[in-house]
Amino acid sequence: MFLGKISLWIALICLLIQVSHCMPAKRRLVAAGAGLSLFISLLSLVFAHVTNDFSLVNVFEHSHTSKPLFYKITGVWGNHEGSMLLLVLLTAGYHVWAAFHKNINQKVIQLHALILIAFLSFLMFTSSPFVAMDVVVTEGLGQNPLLQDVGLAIHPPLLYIGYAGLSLIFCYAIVEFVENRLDEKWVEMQLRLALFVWIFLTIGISLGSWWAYRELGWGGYWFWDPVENVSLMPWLICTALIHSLLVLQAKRRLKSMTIILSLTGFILSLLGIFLVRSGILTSVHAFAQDPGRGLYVLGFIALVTIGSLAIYGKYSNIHRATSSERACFREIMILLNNMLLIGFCACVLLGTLYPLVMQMVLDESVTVAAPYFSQMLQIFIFPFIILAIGVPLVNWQGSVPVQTLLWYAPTLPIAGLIAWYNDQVYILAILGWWLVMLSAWQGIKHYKKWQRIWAMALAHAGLGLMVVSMTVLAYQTKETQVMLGYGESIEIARYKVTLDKMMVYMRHNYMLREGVVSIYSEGQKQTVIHPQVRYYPVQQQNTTEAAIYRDGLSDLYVVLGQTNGADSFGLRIYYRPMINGIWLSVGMLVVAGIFAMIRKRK
Amino acid sequence: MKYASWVLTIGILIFLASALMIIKEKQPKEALLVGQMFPEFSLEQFGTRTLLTYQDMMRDDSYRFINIFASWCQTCVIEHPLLGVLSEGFPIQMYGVAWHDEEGALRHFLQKNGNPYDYILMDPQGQLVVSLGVTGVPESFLLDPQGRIVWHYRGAITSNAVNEIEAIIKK
Amino acid sequence: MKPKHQRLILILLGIFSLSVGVGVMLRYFNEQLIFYYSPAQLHAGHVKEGKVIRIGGLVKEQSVIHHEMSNTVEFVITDGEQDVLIKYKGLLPNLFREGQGMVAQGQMDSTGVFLASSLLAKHDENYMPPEVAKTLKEKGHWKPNN
Repeated sequence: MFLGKISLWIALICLLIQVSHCMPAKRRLVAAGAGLSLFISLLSLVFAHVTNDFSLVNVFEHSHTSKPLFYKITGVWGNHEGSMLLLVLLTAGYHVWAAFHKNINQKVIQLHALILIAFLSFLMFTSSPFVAMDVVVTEGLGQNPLLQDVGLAIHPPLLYIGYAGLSLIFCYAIVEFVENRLDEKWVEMQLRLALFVWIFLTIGISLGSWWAYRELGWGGYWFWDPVENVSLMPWLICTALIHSLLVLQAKRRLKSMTIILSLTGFILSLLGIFLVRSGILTSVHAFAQDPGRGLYVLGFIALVTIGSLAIYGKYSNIHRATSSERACFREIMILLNNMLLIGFCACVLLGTLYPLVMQMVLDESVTVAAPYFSQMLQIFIFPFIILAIGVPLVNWQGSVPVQTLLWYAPTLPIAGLIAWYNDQVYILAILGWWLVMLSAWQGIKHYKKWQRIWAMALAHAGLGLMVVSMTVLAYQTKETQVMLGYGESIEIARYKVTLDKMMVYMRHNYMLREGVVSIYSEGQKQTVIHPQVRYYPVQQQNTTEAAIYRDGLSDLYVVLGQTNGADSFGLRIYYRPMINGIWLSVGMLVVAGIFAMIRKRK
Repeated sequence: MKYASWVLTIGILIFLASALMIIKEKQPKEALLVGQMFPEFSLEQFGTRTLLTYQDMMRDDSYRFINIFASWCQTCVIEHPLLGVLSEGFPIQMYGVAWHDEEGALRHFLQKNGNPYDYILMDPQGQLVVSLGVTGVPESFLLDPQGRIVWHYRGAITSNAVNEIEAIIKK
Repeated sequence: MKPKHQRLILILLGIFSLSVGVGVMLRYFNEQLIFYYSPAQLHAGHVKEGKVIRIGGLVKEQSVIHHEMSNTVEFVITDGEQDVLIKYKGLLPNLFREGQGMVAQGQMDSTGVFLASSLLAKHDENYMPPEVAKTLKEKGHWKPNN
């Protein structure tokens, strides 16, 4: 596609101009030029997919005429090259925004342009989506049907908006660090950037998790899969960064930590790009590619890491502690919180990098099983929650006024009651409910400062709810597998599940075998659900569509399994209590982030 | 700044520590069983169901070729003709050990691919297989007249194997 | 308390918790390390019965046998050199297909059969787990998709 290719070159030229500083006055024009050409490039790729242009390898390998239009469009970023183009475009989006923002230093723009050039050249020279087919074909190979799902379709763009932003956060931090301009304006700007990125990372990660829950057929939502981990780590760092910026804003302290976090976030996001595309991982997520690409990105990561460390080391003496007053309790708590976040991130990093390094250096294939990560999380979550609980009780001056204690006193017994009433008497669940109650109390107490305090209260309440949900889910989940004939039932938790009958249908690009399943609880029929097994003839592949009965915050999750061919059909049924509490808590986090972003400046 | 270098150092140390663990964990590659005595066993024969033990096998003074195989093993089909070559070309006794197999499938397998064995033993519970440390099929052993393993091969045997066995026997 | 003392206490506390934390972490880490073997490597790796490992290969065509009574399924995995018999209790994942790559996690039982606790039929765009592809490539049995 000529247009697509030439647009990439135009963008590259614009960025080179930007970096070389030859037209500083025109930086907005140049940035806009780069952004626009990249946008055109992506559009032409989308066009090629939508019009079934099989002269492009990318379209041939990942599309098919029978694919529904929506998935033809979203399938553009369901593969390595297309998603890389999307990432570059989104990064350019930040670049344009920064270029148009008068408060952002020219050097930041230049450095960011340099990073964009690195991304773009990676795309153009190792992973171009515009490679032409050398044979003429009239049909494509189609796409893994597992990826043809709404959640997964929009998950990459949203997640990438987060990833891409980390590059700007990086540049903004390192340039202003060197120039010693870490003033209030900088903190405010970086905080907004960090919040914006954090919101999208949160949405992106949870969409991925939600997809996995619905599509992978196990009723699980997080597998500590390397690709999942690699998206989690920037999120952890970003969370720490936000907290660090808040302290910086209030107390002019934690400068070093803030900078280091800003740098680390970007480096970890690069790691994400590398792992997902290097071909070393076994994952439904991983793009299968040759190690050559991986080496390029690894080299880039090493360069950025060493470079930033060197620069940080060289310029760190400029920044003495600006305040020698005693650190207040609240500040210490946030510092501890950040150390814990970094610590947990390091644990995840070890578990994720280890197999990679073993593979590359010792040629040993090894996996770190999920219990390592979940056990680590169980350990870390306690101090997290205790700190979050402590925070509303202490003010920035470091004191714990008696009135505050009195005001918040009822929250613990109420939390206990809620937990007891819902049959959720576990330490973590009680702590979680306590956090929720505390945050609610906090929100009421400070209803006037609704934007600022509510952001924190809502976010922490979300955390509390998430902890409750995950704990209850872990302790009370049930599953069963059974072969049922027509009219036969099985009981699980407080439900009775009956297979009424099976049906077979034809659809646009697949055939399906559907079970008609009735669910009863307390003797009454609640609903009828339809788990399916779909067969996609193009890929000759089956997928399961689980049927989910949502009962308040809990789900009953039913999957069709194998059949014995005659009159008995396999069903896997999972009872997932409080699973929707997790999605709800994510929603709370996102709204909290938005609140935090729109609050008026001090 | 000092934090950063400390953190990095600690991080690298942790990594090295865990790398050492993996090296310790993975045992050194096990040598083949050459030089060891063949283990005791007592298995039913295919068809007749009569028991055959290690002592029964050692009754005469010849070289024995033990081939662990199964009817569900496709790789075994590949080596089957070579087993025939061994059987006909050399004065060795051919023992086949059918692992985790059943009579019908085995019969079908032998009909389809030929039967180079003098004796076929059934090992449904993996008795002999596990004591040999065999984890996959096919796997073959050559025993000298005293019952010592003098040749051991994992996987489908090749014509190379035939030459090696020839060299051992002719010595 | 002077800021200097404050800092010292914080640092000591930090080092202490760090050491404890790292110790615990490494212990968990070590327990959860799962090694991967191809059928041919399995024997050489001298794997103890009962140790959780992963094994991968191609699922042999027509090797899948369902035992309805016990709800187990048996199938064979091969790397072109040796075949290993795998038993799995439960319903096969939908990405499971004969003739395609598969990684099973579980342990060898006392009869030499591999008891899989989970089947990892997750894979990449080309439907082949990288470890399996690597082994097959080394053995010269690799036939890339299309």
